[in-house]
Amino acid sequence: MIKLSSISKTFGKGSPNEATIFNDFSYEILKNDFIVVIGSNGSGKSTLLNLLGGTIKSDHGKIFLNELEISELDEHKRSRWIARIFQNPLTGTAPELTILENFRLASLRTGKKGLKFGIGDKFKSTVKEKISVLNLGLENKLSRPMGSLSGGQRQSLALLMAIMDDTRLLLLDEPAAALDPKTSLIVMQLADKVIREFELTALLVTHNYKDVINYGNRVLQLKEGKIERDFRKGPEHELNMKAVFEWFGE
Amino acid sequence: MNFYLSAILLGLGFSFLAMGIFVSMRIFNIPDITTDGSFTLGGAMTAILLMNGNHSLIVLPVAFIAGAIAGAITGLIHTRLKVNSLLSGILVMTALYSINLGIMGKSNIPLIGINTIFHISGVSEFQSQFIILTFFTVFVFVVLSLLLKTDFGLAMRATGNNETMMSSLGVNTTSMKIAGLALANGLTAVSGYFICQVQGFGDIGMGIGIVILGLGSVMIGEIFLKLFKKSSITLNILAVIFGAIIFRIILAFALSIGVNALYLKLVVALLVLIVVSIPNLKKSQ
Repeated sequence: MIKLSSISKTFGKGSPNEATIFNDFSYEILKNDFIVVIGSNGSGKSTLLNLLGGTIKSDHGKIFLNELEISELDEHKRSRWIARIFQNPLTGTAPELTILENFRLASLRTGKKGLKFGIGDKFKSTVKEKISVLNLGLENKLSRPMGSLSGGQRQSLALLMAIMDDTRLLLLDEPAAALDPKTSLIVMQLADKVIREFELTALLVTHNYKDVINYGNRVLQLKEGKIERDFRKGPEHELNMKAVFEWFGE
Repeated sequence: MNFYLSAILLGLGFSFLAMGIFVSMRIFNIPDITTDGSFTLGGAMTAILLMNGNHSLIVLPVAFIAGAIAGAITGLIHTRLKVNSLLSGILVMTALYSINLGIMGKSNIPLIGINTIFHISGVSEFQSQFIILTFFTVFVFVVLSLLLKTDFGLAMRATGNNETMMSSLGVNTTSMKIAGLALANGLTAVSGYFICQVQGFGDIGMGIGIVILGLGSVMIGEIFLKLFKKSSITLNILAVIFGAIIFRIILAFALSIGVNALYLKLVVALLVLIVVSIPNLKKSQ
């Protein structure tokens, strides 16, 4: 589904802080892969997500999405297929806009943002129905500004917003790291449910070993921009899992 | 009493500027100094075009478009050339000083004996100013409120609110910023259009420090909004218009108690300083 071919990326070229994260990095993500990405700080996890999402572009190499080369496409153009959940709950939603307005924008990810009043009764009931799944009681507070909600509520809504349109790849950048343990569990379980139900392909960057156990069907461990381990979860890879836990210090 | 009515008239004239600043400052979070130049640009275009016999209703969209182009240039410099927004505005404002002088050909154009938009037969000039300014203020208020509720308007507001999110939601935030600055400066030029006709002349210095006046109006409006403890985009814009009127009433009051007109800009600066610092003083208590 997604192919990264001979990707190279160096930050701060020519400066004393020059750092090469990827050098001739290739990787293939298959449809319905739910990959848990682990690695130390600076190993290239976030850079990988940024390269896929289009926040940064590679110096060399190509990225393909189903044969379509997307390497040079800007982030807003890639968002047609790729949705992203950020670590900071504040990043994924517009705080001064209401819940309903945020969902309206999410529903227009691939659509035209024209001079149309898109928030009608039909749209309201669609959003209400989607949000009621969360059991957070937010379905009756659609006119509340997003900024008045808690981090967990915002992150949960951001997840639902990600699937309002034709998303194929979901990038999760430590989506629960800024939340308390209880809320973090709710958000992660919701993410897992959404990925399964909508048959999404997903990458989850995490520093939590429990996420490696509980979520995903494939594990990618990066070290200094290179693949240290890449395996599908299953009994035949118990040794790999053991090595991962040892790396986590568990 | 007439003194205060005149202040309300000027407040209505400056309400377009306040709405413009609301768009650039509050929606996009960009302190846009282009305002000083685009306000004068609106006035300069109005003065020269009216003097050359053009109808005032034709001049109105021309002034808006001229201001919008100036704003779009600031937006292009800021987004495409990655120049700091404040500096981009200062650059365009500086360039506009020469352009405005070039348009007018001299530093001041009086509109004596020229048919302005405020000529309605059968009513006094004062009354027609009141009717026309109220009409256009309400018209722009309605259009802007509706625009900001459309899908395009939502995307605009969200871009200023959370650019990272909007980019990941498929919005070209660069184009949005350029469109926003164009709209803001278009509105500012419309203010220049009306004020030029209210005061009866276009002047190269009419825009000096005007950005502060717009900012002060927006902030006074916000203080009122906080008193009502309600917020919506429509109420926000309405509050900004009231802010512009109240700002002029306060200035009229300052003049009526004997403040020398020479010190008017000083009063403006002090007033804005008070409005800006009140929330901070409250917080530190």
